[in-house]
Amino acid sequence: MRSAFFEFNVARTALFLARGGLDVVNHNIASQGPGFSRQFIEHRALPALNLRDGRGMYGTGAQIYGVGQHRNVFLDHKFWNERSTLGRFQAQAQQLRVLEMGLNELRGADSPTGGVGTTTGFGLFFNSLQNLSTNAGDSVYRVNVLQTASTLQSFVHNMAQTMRRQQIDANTEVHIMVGRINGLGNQIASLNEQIARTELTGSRANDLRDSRARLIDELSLLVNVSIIETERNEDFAAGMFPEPEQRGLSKLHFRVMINGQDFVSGGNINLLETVARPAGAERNPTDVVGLFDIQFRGGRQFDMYSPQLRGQLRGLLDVRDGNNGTHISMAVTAGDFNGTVLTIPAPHRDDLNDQGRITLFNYDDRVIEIDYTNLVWNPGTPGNQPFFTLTVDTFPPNFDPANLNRIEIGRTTNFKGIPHYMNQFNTLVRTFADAMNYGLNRNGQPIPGAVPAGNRDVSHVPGNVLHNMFVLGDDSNPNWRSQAFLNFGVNEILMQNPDWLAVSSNNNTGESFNDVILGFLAVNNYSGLFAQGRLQDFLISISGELGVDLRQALRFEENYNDIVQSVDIQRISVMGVDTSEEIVNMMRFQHIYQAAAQLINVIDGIYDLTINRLGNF
Amino acid sequence: MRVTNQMMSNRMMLNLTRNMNRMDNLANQLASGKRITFPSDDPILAARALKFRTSLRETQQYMRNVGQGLSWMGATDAAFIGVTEVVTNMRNNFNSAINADKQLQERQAIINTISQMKAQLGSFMNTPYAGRYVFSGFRTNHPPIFEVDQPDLVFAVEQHFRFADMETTNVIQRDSSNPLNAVQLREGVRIIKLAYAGNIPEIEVSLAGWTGNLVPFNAANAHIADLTAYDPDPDDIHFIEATGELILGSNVANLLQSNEMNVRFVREGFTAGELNPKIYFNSFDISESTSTSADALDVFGYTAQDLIDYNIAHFHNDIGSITDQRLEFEFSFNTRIPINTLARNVVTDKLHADLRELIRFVNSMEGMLSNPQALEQAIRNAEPNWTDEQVQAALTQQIAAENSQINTAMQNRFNSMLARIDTHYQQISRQEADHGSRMQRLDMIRLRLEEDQLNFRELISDNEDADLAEVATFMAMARAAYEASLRVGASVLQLTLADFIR
Repeated sequence: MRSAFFEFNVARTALFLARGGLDVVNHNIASQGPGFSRQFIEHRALPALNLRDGRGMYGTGAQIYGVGQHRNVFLDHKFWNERSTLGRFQAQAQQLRVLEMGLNELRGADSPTGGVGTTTGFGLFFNSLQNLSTNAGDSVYRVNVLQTASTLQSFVHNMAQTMRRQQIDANTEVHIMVGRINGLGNQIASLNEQIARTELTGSRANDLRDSRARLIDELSLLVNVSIIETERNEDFAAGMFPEPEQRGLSKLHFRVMINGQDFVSGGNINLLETVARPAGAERNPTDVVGLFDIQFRGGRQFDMYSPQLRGQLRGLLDVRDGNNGTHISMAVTAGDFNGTVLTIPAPHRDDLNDQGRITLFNYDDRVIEIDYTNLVWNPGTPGNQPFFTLTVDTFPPNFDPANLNRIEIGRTTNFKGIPHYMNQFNTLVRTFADAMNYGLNRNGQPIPGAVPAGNRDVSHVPGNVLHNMFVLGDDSNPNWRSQAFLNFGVNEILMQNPDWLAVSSNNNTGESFNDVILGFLAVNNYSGLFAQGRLQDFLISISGELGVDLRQALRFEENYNDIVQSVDIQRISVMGVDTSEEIVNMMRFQHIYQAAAQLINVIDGIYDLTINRLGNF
Repeated sequence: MRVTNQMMSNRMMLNLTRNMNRMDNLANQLASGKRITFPSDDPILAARALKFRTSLRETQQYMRNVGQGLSWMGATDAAFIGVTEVVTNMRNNFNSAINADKQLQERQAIINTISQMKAQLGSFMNTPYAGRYVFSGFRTNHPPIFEVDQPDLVFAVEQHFRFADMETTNVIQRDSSNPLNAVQLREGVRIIKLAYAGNIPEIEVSLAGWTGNLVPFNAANAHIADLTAYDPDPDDIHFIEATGELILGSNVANLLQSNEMNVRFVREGFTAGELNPKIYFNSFDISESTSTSADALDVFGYTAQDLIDYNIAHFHNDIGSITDQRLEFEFSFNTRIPINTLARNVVTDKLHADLRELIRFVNSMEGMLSNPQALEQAIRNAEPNWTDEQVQAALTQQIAAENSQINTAMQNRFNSMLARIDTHYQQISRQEADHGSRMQRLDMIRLRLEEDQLNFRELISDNEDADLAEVATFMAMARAAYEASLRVGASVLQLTLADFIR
């Protein structure tokens, strides 16, 4: 039996539905833009009236039971994934570009003498030596040699300072980035709480979810994220509450992991923090003191050097810490250790700081990291390998030195970052200075054609002292080896007394005797000075490998930019708002409203007729 | 697939950005004229560019060196021309001096000319280039021939002599005790001439197998008056200080055929025109020596530390060594060429000594002749009975005889000198040929370096310069694409359904 005014109710539902639809269209048009997923009304028919006489069921209208949003979670995940790879190469390219501009090898080299890079600097220096060789008795040319050497010193220092500054800048950026990650995490956590509270009532918090997704978009550029949203109500997950009214029973838990480690879990967050490394704990001997390590607050470790880390954070760390694997990792036995002094035989690098951290490995996989002091480099006697010794502090009780297996000093980052280039420059100045000062190559053997230091005549110098042309800092600084390129310079004494420069092996042979100078020139021609060849070849290889790496980073950046854009376009295809579509919807709802309103008029007329005019005699 | 406005606008922005990037790159190439600005634009190209630039810079420096070398050798060349001309002139003069008709005065005139020429040779050896002496080896601040007197210098000098250096010739002496037979002609005297005459207080001679004595004749006129001076025993050597001559006995001369003679001596004070021992010989400057050794020639056995302690400078000239005092410049990768010639190989000390002795000899002949009045007096004293006519006849005969002896001696000397000057001339020619071939080689290097320079410039340009025509074409294309994308985007983005609903 139908109720009175039954039709009005049905029409009324139409009006409300149309109004609801128009509201959603309104909202879509107003909020369209990046990150907004378009919303739609979920509507269903109201329970129909069953006339039990078999004539059928009368529909009672429709109702809106929810507002949904079009979003493809799979595409979101794909977007975030690719974006963090993009971030990594973006940051690498940006940092390496600054480094390349510092080297500036090609600038201004239109005239062969007009460049500003180190290849030009070395070229001018050897040119001045050539001029001196043809005028060995003229002191004006000696002054010229020392001046070009001084210019060389400026080039090297400039490069050194540029690299150090950039390392410091990258370090600061790491700190800022960690702050931003924390900030985003905090916002995500608070949104999680709001969404959970709102969805208790059963309504979907569409716009809040959109905001959260936007935050994760930003976070994914900085660091690689993985999102896990789980349904904590098992019954709900099993499908035991299918009705829309029961949606409030769902307990969705939103978890954000960065680099595979828990970051945000529901409303809780594990914040990151940066801790400056104390002096002596540098990863590389050339590092600036006080570079930041990243860890979770409370001390839990953050895998900042995991190969899986991506995002701009990874790019920054690559460039800041990348040493191309040149740390020391040697097998040692218990026999190399006697109480407190450890002897490390035949190491492949000799520029370690005199104190720092050393990691000791036991056969039974126990690992400790302790400080060492007093590292002494011993070049070894002829026929024996060089080695160095260091002193380690007291051992913790659970470590058995009898089972010593391996040691490591410094750690690997397989990227050619700033420490790698600092190392290259170190090698450059040390090999160059040794070759010029002593006529020896990097293995301590005499360079063919060069005059050894012992054969240079210094009888014209007061005190018969041989003043080396180049200094690398003196032995009073125990870390001079690893900081050679910072302290590289022309000997001040020679700058003030250019006539004390030794140019021949026997002053009595004559003022034009130029064998020592020809020996200097032989250093330039010596194709075994570096593993890469001549001095110029080594310099070209430095800027060459930087160029190649940067080119690759730029290429990957472009590539991944395209990938990210195309995934974004796919996302927008699902969730974007199309104005024409909304207008069509708008017209549809408008017509529904108009028709429903018209229907009410009709029914009103019928009722009016029935009530007021029927039976009126 | 569902396409929304946002997708279309995103795509348009993406393409627009790409187009702008391309145009930016091309504009940069056009403006700078270079294909790359940073090594990362094209690392291989950049590495090549740096390598070429380095090679070009080095080539240009080598060319500067070649310029220096050629200038130096040019100065040497001019000196060589002068020297060969002078020596040829000398030879002609000797030729005319041999002529039997020449009188003493004429020969003396010739000798004056020779003396001038000798001085000219000295000035050629002292040729300077940019304030340095080109023939002095490494000691470019010391002239090979002294230009001013050096009375305070004392040197210990070492010389070597071979059989070819020995001259067998005639000498004239004057026996004042025998006025009627004063002029003594001695033939077949074996003479070795030291580089210096006079002021030689110490001397020692070493020759393998020689067991005789070295007899010094230190009197200032021993060469004129001491008749035993030029007559040594077969095993002896006479040293005549005033002329710097060593007279060898016959056996000694035979020994010399198979061995080299080594002579060490001390010379006090030097005059202008004499050889500079620093440049010519293995020598020691003992002017300021504080050594207490009685024998100054011990200095040849001193160690380096001794020399320092005693304030003695050693001027080492390793005669005959190929590498000694070779001034080398680098003209190409590991290519060094010596650019200098040594004075002691051009105007050798033997040539210098020969000329000196000849000049002295001829100039001394006038003093050998007897004074006619004194001779006449001596004849009268010896033969008081002779008439004036007899005396006159004897006088004339004596004078003629004397003149004849002197004539013979001088002819002999000039003859000998002619042969010797030919040998010296050959030596000079050899040096000139060596110098000439080196100079030619340097010229070839210069040509090659010039070509290299051109090549490198071309390579650099090929490598990095942007082909402006090509780039301009690409630029036009990029601009057209940019314009098209803007226009299409503008027309598509503006339309929505709202425009068509009344």
